[in-house]
Amino acid sequence: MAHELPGGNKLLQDYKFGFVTDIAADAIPLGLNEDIVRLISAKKGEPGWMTDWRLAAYRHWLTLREPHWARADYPPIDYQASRYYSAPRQRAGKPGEMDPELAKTFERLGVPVHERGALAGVAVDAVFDSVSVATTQRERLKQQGIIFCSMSEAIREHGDLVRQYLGSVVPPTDNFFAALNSAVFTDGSFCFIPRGVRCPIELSTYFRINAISTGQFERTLIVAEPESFVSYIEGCTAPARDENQLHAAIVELVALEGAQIKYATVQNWFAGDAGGKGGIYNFVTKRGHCRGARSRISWTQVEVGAAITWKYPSVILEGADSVGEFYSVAFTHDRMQADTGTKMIHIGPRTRSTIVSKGISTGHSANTYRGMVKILPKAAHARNHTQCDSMLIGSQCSANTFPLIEARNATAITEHEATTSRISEEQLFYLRSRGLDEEAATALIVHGFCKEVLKELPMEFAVEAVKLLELKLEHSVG
Amino acid sequence: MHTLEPTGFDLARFDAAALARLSAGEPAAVLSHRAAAFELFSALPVPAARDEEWRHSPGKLFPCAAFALAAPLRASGAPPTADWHEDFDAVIDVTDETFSLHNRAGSLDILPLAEALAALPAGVPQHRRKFAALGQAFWTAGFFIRARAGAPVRLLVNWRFAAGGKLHMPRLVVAVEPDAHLTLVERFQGLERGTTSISKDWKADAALAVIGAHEFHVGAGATLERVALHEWHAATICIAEDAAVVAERGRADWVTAVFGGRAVKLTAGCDVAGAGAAAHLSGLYFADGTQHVDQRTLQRHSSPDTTSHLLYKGAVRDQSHSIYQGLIQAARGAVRVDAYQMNRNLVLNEGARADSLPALEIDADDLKCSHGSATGNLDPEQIFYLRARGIPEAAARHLLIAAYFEEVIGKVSHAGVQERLRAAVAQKMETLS
Repeated sequence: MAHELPGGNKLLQDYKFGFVTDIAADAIPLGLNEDIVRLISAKKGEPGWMTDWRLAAYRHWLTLREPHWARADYPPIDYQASRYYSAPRQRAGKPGEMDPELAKTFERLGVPVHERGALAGVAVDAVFDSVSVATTQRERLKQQGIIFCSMSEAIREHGDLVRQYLGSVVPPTDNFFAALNSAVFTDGSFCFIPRGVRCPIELSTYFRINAISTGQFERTLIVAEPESFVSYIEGCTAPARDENQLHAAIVELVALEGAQIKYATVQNWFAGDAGGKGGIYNFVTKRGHCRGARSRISWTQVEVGAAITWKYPSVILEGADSVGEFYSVAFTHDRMQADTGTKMIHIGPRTRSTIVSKGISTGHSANTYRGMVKILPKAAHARNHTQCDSMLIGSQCSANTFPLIEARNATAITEHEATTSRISEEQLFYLRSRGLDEEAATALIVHGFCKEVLKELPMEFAVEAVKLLELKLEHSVG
Repeated sequence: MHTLEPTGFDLARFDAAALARLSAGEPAAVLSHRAAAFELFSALPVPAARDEEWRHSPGKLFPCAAFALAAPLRASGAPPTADWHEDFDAVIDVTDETFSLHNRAGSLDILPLAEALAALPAGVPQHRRKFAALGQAFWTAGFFIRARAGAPVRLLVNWRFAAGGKLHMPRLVVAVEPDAHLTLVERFQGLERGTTSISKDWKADAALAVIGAHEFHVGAGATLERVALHEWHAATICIAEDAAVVAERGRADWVTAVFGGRAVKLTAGCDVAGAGAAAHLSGLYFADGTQHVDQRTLQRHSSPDTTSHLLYKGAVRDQSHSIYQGLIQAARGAVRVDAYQMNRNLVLNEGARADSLPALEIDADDLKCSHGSATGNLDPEQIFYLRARGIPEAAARHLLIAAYFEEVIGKVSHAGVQERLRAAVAQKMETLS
């Protein structure tokens, strides 16, 4: 039986999202088998093709072995001890209205789930455990033909679109966690931007794990039709518990000719306590496909949470002149283990990619950048530039960099640079001599170190990310 | 293009019976060294295609089992045969299964490895790698070299093996004593200089296999300058494991050049293990035809206040494939470390392939480690500039390639070796338009 961690230690005080919402849940039994897969599908009222799709993925999953090549140590995961579906129960007599407890939860998290004038700049899909509980701003988007809804709803209402694109970037057979997700995914967001439309507001999904022993398996699919544009933001938190919870998500992005997708994540899952107890296992497959010419996909991530991160947002650059970007800040503290990076697969001619990765390790944590740049024979004049920097704060942490560069075209140019060093004594000394204390000086230097990535975030989000980094640093340094 | 199936290595023939046949009549001390290495070899798993290190170099490229193990070396008393022997204080000539030794240096000891092992009190340190252990157990051509403090000495080792279905296993154990200075040039040649492209009906009995395991102990304040020149003919497969340990204030300068061979897998590991120790690793490789050149380097910093600097430059043309894997490791507590690693690749035509995997593994905080990797073709602007000065395009390309490699060639102190490297680069460019 898992318990909430006692709130006595510093780190838990930092993690202000570590509370639990006391809400009645509609949950299914622990464990995983074909009946559970059918049950999830039935609960969501899915058509037969979706149930079959899930079952095929489940059967394939049974033939796979869990990957262990990442730099992460953790005890074996018992997939039968997790609950694959948990939804806040609808209140009797008030269908369609959000439970006040739930609304309060998102209020505490700072997520606007009620339509409000002040936050008209963002449309939000809020996912609580296994289901989407609210999606805002829908009418405004609908006027422009933009579909933004929960994945469950999309499967019911826009079956043909979903069927056309689901699994077309990350097939269910892609890897162990992708197969698992394809079998049991519960909710997530679906976005469809029609031809020539520039989405007027930021789209956003907020993921919250609340229930005990529950895994979250969300699935997000974004399709940008030719010459369209969308900026999307994702945020995540979970209560502080002494058990490890599994989060295995899939995000698929499809950019058609001339389309642009900007995808930003601030991942702040519960990271476990100072001794490494509890925390989320964040095993995520994120991939974008620049399918059309001149399309553009950009991933920006700020990874400050989760006990273990296994995540490589990638771009397949198939369309001629398409562009892939990856900007990442990964901050690890205490016993966190982050193994993250990207893959840029250059297929089309004149495709370009940029990778900027900043890793900051403190405490006893391990922070690994793992990346691949692959230039296929037809990618004439392809171009990649990679910059990976690691900063070490403290003597017990580690930083690893494992890039792989495969060049199979004579006109392509790839460049990779990486540095690893401790936080600069000289810079610290300079700032301290100007009257800043060590914490403030460190925060300033780290902020500067990450600036290249943070400037890629939408403004409100960047402010949030900087605050989050400062908060995390405060008790990791000194 | 290599589309070979990723099958494992067939190493079953390296069994206890084979070891007993090889070592029949050797002194007990030698047997115990071989037995210890064999025990380790047997305990280590066979590299599989799934292993990151061997993913690009499957066992099928290295069909070791198709070759008969060469007989141990015997002395021939022949005069030195090499081009540059007058520049060296000592020369070891190995021709197939015979050797001759010529040593004019007072501060240099050279012994056949069997004699030296019998005299060495302690076991040689073991490297927990499959092919290093194999080389330590089954070496057929081994020497022990000791440089004592005194005037700098220069040693040339010519390894010449004929094609003929044999597997040769060279092994050097080199001790550079405190404050000594040794320059070692190793030239690896296949006796038949074949054509540069490999015929499809490649047969083991017309070919040659080499598995080498060298180790180098550089003492306090000592310097080892080493050049390894791989000029194998086109039907050679070669796996070599080189490991060095550098003590405080010691210095190792390595240059590895690879031109020949059908499939080559070289590992060069250098541990800067004492304060003030420094390692400079340089590499030059130029592959053509369907050559497969896989190199792995390790810069290990097991001690604080150490330096390592690496520069590997390569070019691939035709259907060849090069792989460079580099790792910088800083052990916990290895502070004030300065490590740098740079890999550059020229991909000269469609169909050629260069893979680069530079990696950092850092467990200490007070240090500065960086690496870089750049892959591309020649700069069109530079070609344009030269053409605008009246130089034909092919000549311009040749000039730029020669200039590209000069950075590494310049790190070799011996003028004759420099010339040899330039000639080898020129030869590779002969048919390049």
